[in-house]
Amino acid sequence: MPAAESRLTGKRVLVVEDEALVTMLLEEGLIDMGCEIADTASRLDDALEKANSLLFDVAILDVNLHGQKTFPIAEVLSSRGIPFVFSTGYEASSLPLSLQQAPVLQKPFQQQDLEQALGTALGV
Amino acid sequence: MVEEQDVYAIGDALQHVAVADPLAALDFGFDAKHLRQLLDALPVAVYTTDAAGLVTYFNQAAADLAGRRPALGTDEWCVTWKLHLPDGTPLTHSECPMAIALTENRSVRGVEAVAERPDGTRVPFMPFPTPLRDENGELVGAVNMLLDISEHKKAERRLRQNEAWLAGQKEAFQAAMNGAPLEKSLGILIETAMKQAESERRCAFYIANPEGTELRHVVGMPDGYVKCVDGLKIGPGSLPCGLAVHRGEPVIMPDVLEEPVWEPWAWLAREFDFRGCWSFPIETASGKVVGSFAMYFKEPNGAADRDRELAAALAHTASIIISRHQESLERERISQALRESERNLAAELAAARHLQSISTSLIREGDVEALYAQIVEAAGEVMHSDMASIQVLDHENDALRLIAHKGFDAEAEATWRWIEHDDATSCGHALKTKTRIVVPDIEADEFMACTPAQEQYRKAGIRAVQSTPLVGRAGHSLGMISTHWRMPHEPSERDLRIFDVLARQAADLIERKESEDALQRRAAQLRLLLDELNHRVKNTLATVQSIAHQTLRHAPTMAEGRKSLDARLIALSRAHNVLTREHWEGANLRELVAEALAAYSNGSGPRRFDVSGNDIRLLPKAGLAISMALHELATNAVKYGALSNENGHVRIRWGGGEDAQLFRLEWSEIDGPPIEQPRRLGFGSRLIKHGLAQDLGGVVELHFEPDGLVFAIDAPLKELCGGDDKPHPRPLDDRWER
Repeated sequence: MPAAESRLTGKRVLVVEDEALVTMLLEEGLIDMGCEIADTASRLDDALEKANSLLFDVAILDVNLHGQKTFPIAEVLSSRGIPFVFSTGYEASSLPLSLQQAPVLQKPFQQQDLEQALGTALGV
Repeated sequence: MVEEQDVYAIGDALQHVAVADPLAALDFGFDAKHLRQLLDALPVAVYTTDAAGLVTYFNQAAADLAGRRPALGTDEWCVTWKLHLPDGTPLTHSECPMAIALTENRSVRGVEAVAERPDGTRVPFMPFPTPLRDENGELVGAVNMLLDISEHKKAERRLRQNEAWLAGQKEAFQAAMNGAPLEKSLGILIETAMKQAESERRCAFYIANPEGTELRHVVGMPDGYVKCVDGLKIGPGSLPCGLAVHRGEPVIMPDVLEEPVWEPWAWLAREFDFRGCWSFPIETASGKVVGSFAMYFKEPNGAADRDRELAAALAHTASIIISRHQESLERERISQALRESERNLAAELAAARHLQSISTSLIREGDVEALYAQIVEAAGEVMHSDMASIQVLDHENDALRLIAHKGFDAEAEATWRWIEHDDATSCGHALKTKTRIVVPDIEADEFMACTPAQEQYRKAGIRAVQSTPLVGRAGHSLGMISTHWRMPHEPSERDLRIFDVLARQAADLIERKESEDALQRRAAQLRLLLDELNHRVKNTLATVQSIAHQTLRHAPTMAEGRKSLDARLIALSRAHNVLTREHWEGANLRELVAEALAAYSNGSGPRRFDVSGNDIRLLPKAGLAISMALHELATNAVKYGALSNENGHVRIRWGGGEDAQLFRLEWSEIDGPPIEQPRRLGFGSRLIKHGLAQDLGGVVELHFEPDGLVFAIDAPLKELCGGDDKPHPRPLDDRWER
């Protein structure tokens, strides 16, 4: 499906997700929205390194990566001023208080949920 | 007996008739002869002297009194042999009342003197010397009458003795009435008796014990003697005191050295210097023998009436005093018992109230720590102890953990935080034996002697301790409740009875707390489990969503799309089955492979799969990823590869790679139709190439070789199997061809 022009066109996205199939779903959805995939990561150390070094506009963070919480990545992103969206199967209330204002994408999700969450994060 | 006034009358008559006034004498109707007969017949001693004091006449009674026959005309002044004043001072005859009457020419009255007979006996008497004068009033002589007053004197002494005895008795009664101890009141009796005694002796009182089996010395004998005879048995073979009590009649031993029964005690009699020993039972009005009175004489002595009388009087008085004393003791004992029982009742009531308040708190109070504190406080009160503690049994460590205490200092608290069951402390011992341990004195306890526990108790200032196991309703050990005293102490049965109620409450509290904790733990586990389930379901749904989305998106037709989607969901479901069988703790790769390929293995047809690899357990996630990849490979093989013709087959192998930390799995298709590189990557290929690589953190090879598809993945074992402690897979066998 050709990418239609949207408010998210051209936004570079870092996808942090440990479930390959979900990563693939996110990738496809993002491409459909006209975004570019800056990179994907499924492990905390890898994701931390990419969050620190890559250039991108927004990140989607799975809260739980192989049993490890991705909150340190969120902190890195906050310090870099890069917005992010949490994706999780857990309740939003399980997030620490300081991170509860971040948009949350509840799995499973619809395309418009993804778009809305990213739009909220980016303020567009 | 001649009365005093008679004596005076006779004296007056004599004055007139004897010498001086014959006329007057005649008036009385006497002549000299008659007079002499009269005087001779008088039972009163009468004698006369001339003016010089020489004895001129004496009657028989005078000779009897003097114990001699005076020499008429020679003996001067008096008929007696020797004279004394009543106080015993010698009195010469020239100073005697008769001499005074003659020299001073006057009658002497109202004096007493003592005559000593030649045989040494003495007679107290009263003289009545009277001068005799002639008609001219010239002194011609004197007449004297000596009145024997020894009976009078004896009666007087007797009277004095009786008075003293009455006074002593009165004093003793008074002392007894005033609540003086028996030693004092009976001591007064002894003192009184001793004062009246004519010979050297000792007196003593003994009292029987309530059982009537032994005698105890009350007063009279010196300590050394008391030490030897105190606790003397009452019975037929006993010494006189015991024997007198046993028989209920006096036992008189004139000389103990002559008595066979005294033989073993002869040394005692010698040491305390007595020979005669008399014992008199003391009977109460009701006839009960309560003790004995004893007299010990320095010289051998048989019982004289006077002494028997004295002893009887003493025993009687003593019986009244002892009865009174015992009654007052009994009254005191009863009132003390009453006070004691009132005190106990009050204490029991207070304890019951306390226990009730704890029961109420147990029902209402949520703060368990506060309840433990309340229980140790109550334990201290119920047991009157200085300290108290509760411990719970920690089942993991099989040791007692201190949860509340009263009165321990910081050091004691630290020392006894944990107690092992083989510890020499009372609680360790009680835990081991499952019974209450009471140590009334840690210094006198054999079990505790020279143990570190004893030293710990000393340091904490504990001298006595008690530990009671807390037992659950089902009979299992829950903990320990202990009380500690600074002084040696043996808790009473009553205290322990109340304490056991408290222990029951403490045990119930601990049991309740333990089940509440277990319930909370289970609830928390359940919450975690539900959270995890939710997370897993959501993730699985996201996976399914992804599969559906991409399958349908790339399907040439809806029918084909639906078919592929079904197949993929079923593959996913089968993998889940394997994982569920293993409780989602892992999956055996061999089983996963069998499950993934089951749909493609035609049971009756030729063998299409050549599978080799050892048992290796994969993490659930890795298991799912490999299952899905195998499904895609198999589907592709059926459509385009080795399984699309009659002869093709697939070789699947896995095992350790060159590096022991690596795992390798291969899929190679053989004897299939020639294949070509697909024009674009479908979902299946992407799932294998990217998805699997991502999920396993490994490197995937996927080659569309003309003679068959070759797939391989190399992944770190750690990603597949989790920790390093998993057994490494066998290396791939040498049939492997690169």
